[in-house]
Amino acid sequence: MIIYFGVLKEGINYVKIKKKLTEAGLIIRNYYPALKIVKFESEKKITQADFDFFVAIEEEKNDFSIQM
Amino acid sequence: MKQNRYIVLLKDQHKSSIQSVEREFSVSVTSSELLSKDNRSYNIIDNKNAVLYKNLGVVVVDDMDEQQLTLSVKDTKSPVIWFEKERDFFAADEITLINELKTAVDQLKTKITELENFILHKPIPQQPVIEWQWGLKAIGMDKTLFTGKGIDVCILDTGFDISHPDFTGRTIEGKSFIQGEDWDKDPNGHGTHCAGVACGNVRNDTGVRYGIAKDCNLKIGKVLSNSGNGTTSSIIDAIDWAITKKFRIISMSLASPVQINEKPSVLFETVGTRALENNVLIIAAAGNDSQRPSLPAPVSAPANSLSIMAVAAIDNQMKVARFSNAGINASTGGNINVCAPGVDILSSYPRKSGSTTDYKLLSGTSMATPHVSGLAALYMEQFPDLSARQVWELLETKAKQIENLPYRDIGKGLIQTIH
Repeated sequence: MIIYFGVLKEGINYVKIKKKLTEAGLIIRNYYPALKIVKFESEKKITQADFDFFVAIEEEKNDFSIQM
Repeated sequence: MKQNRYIVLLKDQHKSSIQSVEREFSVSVTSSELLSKDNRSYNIIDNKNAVLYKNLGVVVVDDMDEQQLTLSVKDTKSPVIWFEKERDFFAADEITLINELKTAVDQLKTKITELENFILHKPIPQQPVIEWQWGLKAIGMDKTLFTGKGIDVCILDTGFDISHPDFTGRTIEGKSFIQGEDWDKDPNGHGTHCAGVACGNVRNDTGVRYGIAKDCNLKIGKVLSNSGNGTTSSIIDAIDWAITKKFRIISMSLASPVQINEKPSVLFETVGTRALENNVLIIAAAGNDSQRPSLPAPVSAPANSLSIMAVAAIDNQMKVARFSNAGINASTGGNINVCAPGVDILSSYPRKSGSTTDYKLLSGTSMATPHVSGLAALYMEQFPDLSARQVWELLETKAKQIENLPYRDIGKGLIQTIH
């Protein structure tokens, strides 16, 4: 499973797109109302072209580290 | 020059006596009967002319030979029986005034003596003389009285050693975003060090000040594991938590390296923008991927986002740290905004087994970042009406350029307190 972060376009209502995401087989892990970002998982590769209500979709990175 | 005037008492006013006086003292005596408003005594009397006051039997004359007068008094044949110098008389209220002045002077002397004794013997103040870590002096901490009081500063890092003695008694709120690891422990030590720089106070052993916003409200989000690594998930979860809790400053001494010409993450650009819209300022390390003097590496993520403040590191010689990343990807974003002390920075550190100290010297843009976060808290206390975006602008406006260091390396320069 790959974790993605979808940045919602301006004016998009999360409640209205949630169903579309689940119907597409995605597992919604979290929605951040203050950020208007959706975290979801998918077994297959997802791109921004798959959903027109995201301004960007980014794959989770795991290389953040302390800087000393 | 004032003359000595004499009052000479005669035993009689016979013509022979008057003539005797005139002869003996070489003066001309005028009778007071001849005085008038046009012929006043003070216009007559001098050392050659005397006035005889007929009713009193007294001659008044200036500058007599006092020795001769004394001999005359003793001489029974002389008409002079007594003399004395003219006296000055004051009205009673003037005398009282002079006496009061003398009393006041005496009292003032007493007060001066008391004050002198107090100054010479006053005790040494209880407050110890504060010494400062070099980084704090470099940003002007010794010139400000602000302490970040009331400002919520959130450190997203490896956690925090809640048992550190310098933080005893402080109310610290925290949350872990790393499964199976607690926010209030910090086996790594990095988070405790960063929190100490931003929000610590003074060393409990030497009293040297190493922390900036000592009276802020410290918030801890554990987003990096005990090994010092983390994911997008833990960071986004923590930022959302911090924004929801309305913390004012998020300090992230973490980074993920990027390639030359790599565009900043839209995700983090959006997160930074949303934070600013919610009056939250995110400050992040520029990254340590450089090996100067070779071409430095570009500013890492998430600091390369335009909506997140990027911090470079300098040393105590005012040179950019050899590891500090730079604004290489200027065309796609990723400039340095400001720089801060980041080499040989002493701060709080968990006491590990075998260790004898609660402190450690560390270097990195990780150490520079909490200098900016702590100072931002001071600004927010000092200027409570400013928004997070305005505080960012002020940090840049008040920063000092450093000679020979380009914008690419230190942005607007070394952050400074406002005093």
